[in-house]
Amino acid sequence: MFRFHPSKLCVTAALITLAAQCRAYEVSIVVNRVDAKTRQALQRLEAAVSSGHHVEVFEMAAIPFGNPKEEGRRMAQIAAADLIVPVGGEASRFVVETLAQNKIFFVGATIVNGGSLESKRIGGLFAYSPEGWARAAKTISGEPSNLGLIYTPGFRPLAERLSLNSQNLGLKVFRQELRRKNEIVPAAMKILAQSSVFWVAGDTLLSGQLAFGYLASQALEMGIPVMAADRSLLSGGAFVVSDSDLPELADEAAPILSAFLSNGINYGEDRFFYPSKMRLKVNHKLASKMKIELPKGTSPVWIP
Amino acid sequence: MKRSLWPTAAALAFWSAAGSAPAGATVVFTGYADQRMTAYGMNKITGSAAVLSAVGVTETETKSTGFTLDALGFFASREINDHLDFLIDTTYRKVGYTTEEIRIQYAYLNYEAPAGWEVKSGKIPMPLGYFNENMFYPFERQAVAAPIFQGSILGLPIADWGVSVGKNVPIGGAQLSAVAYGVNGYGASNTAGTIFRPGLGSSGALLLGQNLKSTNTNDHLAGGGRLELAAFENQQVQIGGSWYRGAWAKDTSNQFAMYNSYVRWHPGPLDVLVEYLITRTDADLGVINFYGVGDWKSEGWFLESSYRLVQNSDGREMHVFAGAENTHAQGVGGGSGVEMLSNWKLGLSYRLNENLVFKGQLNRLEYSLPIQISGAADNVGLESNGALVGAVLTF
Repeated sequence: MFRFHPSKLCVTAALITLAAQCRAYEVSIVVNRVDAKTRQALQRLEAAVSSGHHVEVFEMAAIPFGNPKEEGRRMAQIAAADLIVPVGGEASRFVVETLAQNKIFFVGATIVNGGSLESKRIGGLFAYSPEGWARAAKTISGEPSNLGLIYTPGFRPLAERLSLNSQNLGLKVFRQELRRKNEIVPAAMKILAQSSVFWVAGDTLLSGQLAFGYLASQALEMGIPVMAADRSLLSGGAFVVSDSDLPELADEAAPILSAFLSNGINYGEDRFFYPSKMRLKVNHKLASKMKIELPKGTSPVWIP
Repeated sequence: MKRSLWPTAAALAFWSAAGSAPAGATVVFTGYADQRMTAYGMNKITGSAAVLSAVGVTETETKSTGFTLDALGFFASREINDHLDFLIDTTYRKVGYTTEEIRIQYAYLNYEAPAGWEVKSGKIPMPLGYFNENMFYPFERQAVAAPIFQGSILGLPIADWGVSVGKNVPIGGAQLSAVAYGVNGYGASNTAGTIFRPGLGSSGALLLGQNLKSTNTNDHLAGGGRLELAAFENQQVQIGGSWYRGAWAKDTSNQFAMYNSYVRWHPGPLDVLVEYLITRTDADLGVINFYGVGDWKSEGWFLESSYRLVQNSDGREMHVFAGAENTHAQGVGGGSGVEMLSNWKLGLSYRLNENLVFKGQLNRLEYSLPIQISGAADNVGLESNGALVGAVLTF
């Protein structure tokens, strides 16, 4: 008869854990398009990831969208991996949206589906940091220094850290968390009425064309500059947007990703990481229209 | 002596964890919907009083307008490992209060072996011609509807249970593809096993698609193959020949065969496909009333062409397309009467984005079916003019 002894169980469990950590993982790296910057970023990530693991790189531009027969096959190849690493804003948005049931570590996410971020299988390095946003808000806000935030539950960790950093810099923070589209208008009315600078989380719910267009137009009418997640929102009325350098982000992500793989691709308490340096792009025309004085060295890139 | 099992259990646990399949392996679902509207449809039946009486037709001209969901399809794809995946297409058709048809259009294991070999096993799309595997779906072609003889009478997509083995061989700048397959094959359309092509008044009259069944009719497998040469930059020209042959009845001397050749030319915005098809059927009692004999053959061609008028960087595109086909069928070694099918189409397709395409098509069909009356063939004809509008959504 097989009898279970606690000590033997512990050893067995330890062996299983060790096996999981020793095993070679299949990693799918997804990029939007391989260009010079992406190539640099890929080199840095592959160097960190490929030792002991099998890496395959997929280009979104090569996926035949519009042909679901072939698109499904290509997506199945990406999804077959133990870990998917989308690199860059577009790839992160696409992978988090469509493959949320997989384990994902994004590098350089800007706008993503906030609902998917609530999953414990998804994490990674954002293209922006709460510390950087806080410093930018302090510079832009003027008097009174009131920062308004709207965000969704998936962005709560980022919003909380941004609030804390902003308060440490002397800003007063007004926050509104929302879950549904129909909450955007009342949330915007409430927060904008109290703000001198406005931060919109990079959730597809808030940073989509229609929603962001509404938020930005309301803010601009009230003379409030808007801080937004992605450079695509600059033309939509954002005052300042995240504009990070992909190779730099890959440099920061590489050791985190390597440790994550060594740890059996298990997320702990903290799933989200932020770069130590954040780059922003400013709409200088809007700045002069709104008579907002920015420090020297904010063009073409501002590092707050 | 008691043997401790825990080292074995521990070892098993170690190796199972170390060697287990990727935790992230996922089934990916994609799909499409092909919605159509007959903006204008006019069908006119022609023929002598005797032949109209023989086929039981009273009303000779009908008009139609309406919406239909021609197909709602779901693809499931699962990569099992780097070389092996499993692919399924489930399609719903004739969707009304209930769905009258649910088809598994294909369901197969696809193995990509080293050195360019590819093996498929399951319900595989038959490598016959080019259109069947590459342009059957509405999101793969510009036209609203497929060529009528292949699409409706033969029944696209032609897929059957079996195995295919293929290889791609690069030859300089060109590529030679060869594939051979063994499948259950077309069977009889009636339980007695004597009718291949159902006659008028039977279920699935004139059509052959339902002859591909879930089991083999006899103790012989059907088989065939395809050879294709794709040449010039980006495979602008593809030339191929394919064939199928198999016994359709319990009497294995009664064969059904298909021989196909095709050319596809795709320089830049122009896309032209021409396919030529011959079929040959032995001892089919279903066609006695058409051709007077049971051995019959069909011979025909179709042309599908399109030209891209507009292509924007945001994914919007507009194409003009045109198509034509002609097929005739008759008895072999006697009999009388010739079945003729001619169809023309012209239209525009507009791709709004990667997921939505709108199409508009004008078509004219002329069809003539011989009916044996007192030992001679008298033809009943169908003329059809139509304007179709389609919207294809992929997701």
